[in-house]
Amino acid sequence: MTREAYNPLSSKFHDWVVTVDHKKLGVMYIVTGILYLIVAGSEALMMRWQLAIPNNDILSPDTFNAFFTMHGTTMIFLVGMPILLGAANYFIPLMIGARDMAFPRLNAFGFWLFFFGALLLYFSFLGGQGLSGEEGAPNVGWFAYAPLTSTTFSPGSATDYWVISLFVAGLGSIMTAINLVTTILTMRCDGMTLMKMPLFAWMMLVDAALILIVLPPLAVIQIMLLLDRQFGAHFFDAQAGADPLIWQHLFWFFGHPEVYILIIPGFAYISEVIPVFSRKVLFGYPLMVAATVSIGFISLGVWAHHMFAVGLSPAVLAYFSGATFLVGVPTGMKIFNWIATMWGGHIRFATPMLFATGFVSMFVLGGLTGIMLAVVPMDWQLSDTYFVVGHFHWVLFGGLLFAIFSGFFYWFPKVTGRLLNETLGKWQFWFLFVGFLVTFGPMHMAGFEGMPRRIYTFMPGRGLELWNMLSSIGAAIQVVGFILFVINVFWSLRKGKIAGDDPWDAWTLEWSTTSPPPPWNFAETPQIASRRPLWDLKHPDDPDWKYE
Amino acid sequence: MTTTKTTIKVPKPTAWPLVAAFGLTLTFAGFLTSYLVGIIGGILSVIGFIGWFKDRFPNNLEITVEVEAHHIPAPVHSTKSTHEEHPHHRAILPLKIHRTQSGLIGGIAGGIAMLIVSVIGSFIMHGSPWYPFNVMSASVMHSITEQNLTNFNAIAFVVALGIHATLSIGIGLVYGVVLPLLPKHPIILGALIIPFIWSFLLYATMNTLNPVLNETVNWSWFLVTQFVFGFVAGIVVSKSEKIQTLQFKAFAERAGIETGKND
Repeated sequence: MTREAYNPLSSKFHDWVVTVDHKKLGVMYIVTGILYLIVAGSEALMMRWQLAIPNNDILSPDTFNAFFTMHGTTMIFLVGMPILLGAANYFIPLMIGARDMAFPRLNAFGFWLFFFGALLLYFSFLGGQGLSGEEGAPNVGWFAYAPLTSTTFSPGSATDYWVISLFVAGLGSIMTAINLVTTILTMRCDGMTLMKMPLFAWMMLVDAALILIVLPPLAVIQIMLLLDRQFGAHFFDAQAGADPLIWQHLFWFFGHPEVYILIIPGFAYISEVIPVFSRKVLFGYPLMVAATVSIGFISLGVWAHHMFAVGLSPAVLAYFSGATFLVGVPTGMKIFNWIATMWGGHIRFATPMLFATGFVSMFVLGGLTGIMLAVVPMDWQLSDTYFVVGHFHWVLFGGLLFAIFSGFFYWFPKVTGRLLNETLGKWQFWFLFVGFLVTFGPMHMAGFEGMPRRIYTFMPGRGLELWNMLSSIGAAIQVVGFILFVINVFWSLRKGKIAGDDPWDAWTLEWSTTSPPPPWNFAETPQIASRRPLWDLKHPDDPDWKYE
Repeated sequence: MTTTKTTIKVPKPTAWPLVAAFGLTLTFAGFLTSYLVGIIGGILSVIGFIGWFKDRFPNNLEITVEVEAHHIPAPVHSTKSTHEEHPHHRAILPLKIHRTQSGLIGGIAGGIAMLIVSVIGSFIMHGSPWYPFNVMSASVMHSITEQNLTNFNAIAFVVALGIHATLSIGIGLVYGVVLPLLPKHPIILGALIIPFIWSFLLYATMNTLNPVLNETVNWSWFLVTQFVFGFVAGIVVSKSEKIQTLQFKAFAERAGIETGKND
């Protein structure tokens, strides 16, 4: 086997499609996610162009509906999920000292289910008309509320594409989650007790468990909806005596934990980046583990805060409001622990750390607007306004995407053997950071002014022009950041500085093998004695295991 | 990490999971297109699952890969020696903190200084020393009105002193905790940044909380008094003795069960 043959980024096409190597599958997940990020970003740009000025007619109302549906669906299911599962696929075996995932072929099966499910969703643009000749792509919003999804209001096949494609892709995610849980619980190297695992592994364990708990209910209601639409069942048909709110309850039982499924990997990335770039042990490891597990549990009991405006009883409102406040406690613990890790550290503001600190600051603000929405009277005022759009983009863009970029810059050298360009990385950060603030900050103000979400245009003279124009300018600024990222990746793959095995002087096991790692990861199974095995190897005079 | 092995077995690459996944997707796509697509998908997925099964049973198919020189990682080493690394990489910072009483004393000292400046300002602007006492007590005493803010009121005087003392001591204690976190610039943090933040928050919210009270406050002078408090309290706290935290002592020592000394 030549050097080129084992490099995950330089293998031949045939090697990719038949691979069961967790590293190649991880790369395939991430690359697919980035491609869909470009697609979903383009949809968002078109929407911002449409909303830049009042009474604009760049997009028709139906196309706008399809774009916001596909943008939301794509970002959640085809960008966030594959990138987080891809990173877990690549790094979990390396971090716990294993040669591969527990079930390599199931791993490939999971990826291809996701891949074909995603293709099927976008095939709806071509095939969505079906036999009825109705509109193409799905246009019922990413949470597809009943009764809008009934055949009366959504004829044609577009909604069925949404249901079936996400069902198939969801099956893939469930397969991968089974694999992750099994791998983490059974394949850790000698000496790696649960409380000596990298925090990344702990967080992905909780994340995979959440996927296993909440994705099956989504699959169930998708089948119920399919039965309604294709076979005349009445699960969500109010005229037949059913309650459409059942969809909302079951969807959000999946949907809110899904937010945590997306953000917990973000926590995982920066929990690895911040200590290394602060040259300090992560502050409060046991508390971080406890907080992650707590978030997992609490997130399963907050779903109805998405439904405050539907007319719930006061007791139910009080419970879900309180539970939502409660989730802020373990989340706050994490924030304080990251800050305490940085505090007094020898901080290196390389690009991964820049994105990590951007994550912490923006996630705090996004979390605070979430607490505002947990207050029932405030939610009644702001429900379905652009304030909500601003809030969740603040969390998922300022939170998740910044964390993803932090992790990307941190682990890119391990995957490719080359470092990304630091200068381009810093320019990218600042364009994204400024563009992010200019895009999503004004959305909160537009929401306060009463601008409903999902409208394809707005009337002049209602105080919305400035905020919408700013948001659209911000989106254009972000485009520059994304273009710099793409240029950086392509340039660095060919001309980037050779990274070596351990370019950041890091402490977890993946940095003890070659960059990129060989197909078997570790020729000899590692043995560890602390949470920072490489620190112990590098500093035998002052090992961590004496203190844990 | 080094290896003595020359070959290593890894799972054999296979297309069967891909075939099974493609078949399963087509099966469901049959609902959207035609039953023929669904039937083809079903057949493909069965073929895929059978192929996958045969990869696994009776023997797990593996390939043998040779270990070459470039597969062997370089020896693990740090770019820095232990003493060049962060000296407190395991510590909960700060390592030294002020005693509790230093915050108490700082709060009292800052409160007295702030009181003196407030009274001087009251003399200059209102010709009476009682204005700040009455304004402060007005937040809890409804009998105080805008018309009698310059008159002496014994109850208002005592209430205002009580509020002022409580707040001053409380914030002094906070200073005792917070100032060691910015050890190089305690005066900037204590005298400027913190007073500015809370003054700004009060200024921004007072009109909503109590518009009448808002009208009676001279915000410029208010800011000056806050800076005086912060400056005095900050100096007193930062000049006081610091003691080691107990983080490196055993739990029994921290709990006071053992002394930590060998008797």
